[in-house]
Amino acid sequence: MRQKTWSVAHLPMIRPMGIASLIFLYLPLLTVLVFSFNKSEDATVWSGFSTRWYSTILENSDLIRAAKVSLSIAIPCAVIASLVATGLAIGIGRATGKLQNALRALVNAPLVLPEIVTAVGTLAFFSLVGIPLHYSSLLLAHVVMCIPFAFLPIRSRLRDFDENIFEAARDLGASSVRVMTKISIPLLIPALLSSGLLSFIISMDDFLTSLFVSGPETTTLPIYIFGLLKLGATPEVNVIAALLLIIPTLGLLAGITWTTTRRRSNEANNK
Amino acid sequence: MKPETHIQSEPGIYGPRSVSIPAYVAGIFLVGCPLIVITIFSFLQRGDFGSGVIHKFTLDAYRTVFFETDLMGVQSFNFTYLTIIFRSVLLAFTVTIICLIVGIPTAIWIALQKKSTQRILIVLVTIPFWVNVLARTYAWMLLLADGGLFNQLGAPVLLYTSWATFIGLTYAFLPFMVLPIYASAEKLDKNILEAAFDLGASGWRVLLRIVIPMIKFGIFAGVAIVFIPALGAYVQPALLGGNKTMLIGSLINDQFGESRNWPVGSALAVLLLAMTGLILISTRKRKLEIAS
Repeated sequence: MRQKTWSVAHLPMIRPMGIASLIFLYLPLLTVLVFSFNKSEDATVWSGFSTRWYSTILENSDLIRAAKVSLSIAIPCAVIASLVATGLAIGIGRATGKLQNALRALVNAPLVLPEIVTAVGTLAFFSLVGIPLHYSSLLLAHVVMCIPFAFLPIRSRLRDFDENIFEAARDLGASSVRVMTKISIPLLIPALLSSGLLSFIISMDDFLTSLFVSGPETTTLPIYIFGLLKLGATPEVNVIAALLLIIPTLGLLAGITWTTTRRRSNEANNK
Repeated sequence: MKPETHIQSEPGIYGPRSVSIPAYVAGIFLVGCPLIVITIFSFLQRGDFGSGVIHKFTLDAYRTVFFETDLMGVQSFNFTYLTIIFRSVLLAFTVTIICLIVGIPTAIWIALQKKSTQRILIVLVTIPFWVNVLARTYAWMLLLADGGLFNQLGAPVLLYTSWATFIGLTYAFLPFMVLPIYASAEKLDKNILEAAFDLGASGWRVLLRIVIPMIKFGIFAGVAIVFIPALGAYVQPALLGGNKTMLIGSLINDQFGESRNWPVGSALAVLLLAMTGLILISTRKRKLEIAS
């Protein structure tokens, strides 16, 4: 056997840059996490461990109200966006017609356009057709923003399947509706869950679109937090930022663990 | 033998075609129409009171962006808006370059690890992307503030300067650069690199002549998805830059908010849209050149 003479270390700058960028990515996050447990009244000066600021935010009724608004948008948004995206993926199949491509590009445009453009566009459109800025306008705007993200896991899962399953069903006389309800949708359930999670996080996180399209009674969590941040660093904001960091990370890790164990057990079953 | 593929390209293989209609309706009415509406608004007259527009054709909005009229009625170039646009482009460009310098080696580094390590590192790169942008921006407020951690260690206070905006944007978009480059670097055949080394190529030569050309697609994708949002960024300039230096994102926001000049705001949004289109076309064109 030939001795392996080559390793990443031979390429210049690769390893130090890789390690440096991980530090760059995590240093700020860890700082927020550590300082959320700071005892001091001063947000940036460490004076000892305490969880006192965590209990103060539970008493902040504005924050809780904003969180409720965000949840009341994000949950229906996740459901609607995943369903609409599933419809798109199923109906469009592998079509490559000009019209289908143009429509798909339009639906996916929020992925590539600067958010401020779609946000002011939506505001202008709503004002032109006379849709009041309230709960439903915000929900609509969020759904449109989430559809292209929800579409990604569904499309990639559909592409993984053996086409012959669908063709066989058709050849044996199943109608297209039956193919969808008996084959496509059951196979897509795991992808639907990732789509829903993705849409939920995007809707919960969205600031810019919400800023333009929400009314006074629909102040979402990011809009409320943006207002706090404009005033600078406080111990309370440290805790809010830490929670915004911990919750999606735990959700994401849980999702990853779930999919990998699932994949492993599937692989084991197939053997 | 490969099965015939003519049926596979048909739409409706997975179910009835009509189930796509809700997505099409959403795309046409809530993506297409808004873009058309701001384009139309940019050619209309400003509303008299508060927000909105008067439905009367005029080029005033674009004239305001590019020219100014003095008391004598003489028109000259107005550099205020142009400077803001130029500054935004320059900032987005610098952010993209730094993300390239940091992102390319990071992506290659990850792609050359063992499969299991790769998976962990990609999750690590992805996590910051899932953390709310406000929380990530706030983290830098904490580090860069007067009396903040870097200041306590003796660094100058960068918060509410363009430097802070620049750092915040680079931080926000680095994962956007790493992920597409990783996706193409992952497919690199390590044997080719090894062969080049065995034949006596230096590390730099392998990197510049073999690795970089092979991950071009990923690099172009990364450039597009970093440059475009960096150009229209609003959160980081507002929180880290303290809105001291105007950028196009905050300018558009102002026109729809405080200044209440929707046509000018729309005209700026249309210009931003046009720049986005240019970037998308130029990064795609490069792709075709390589493919052919």
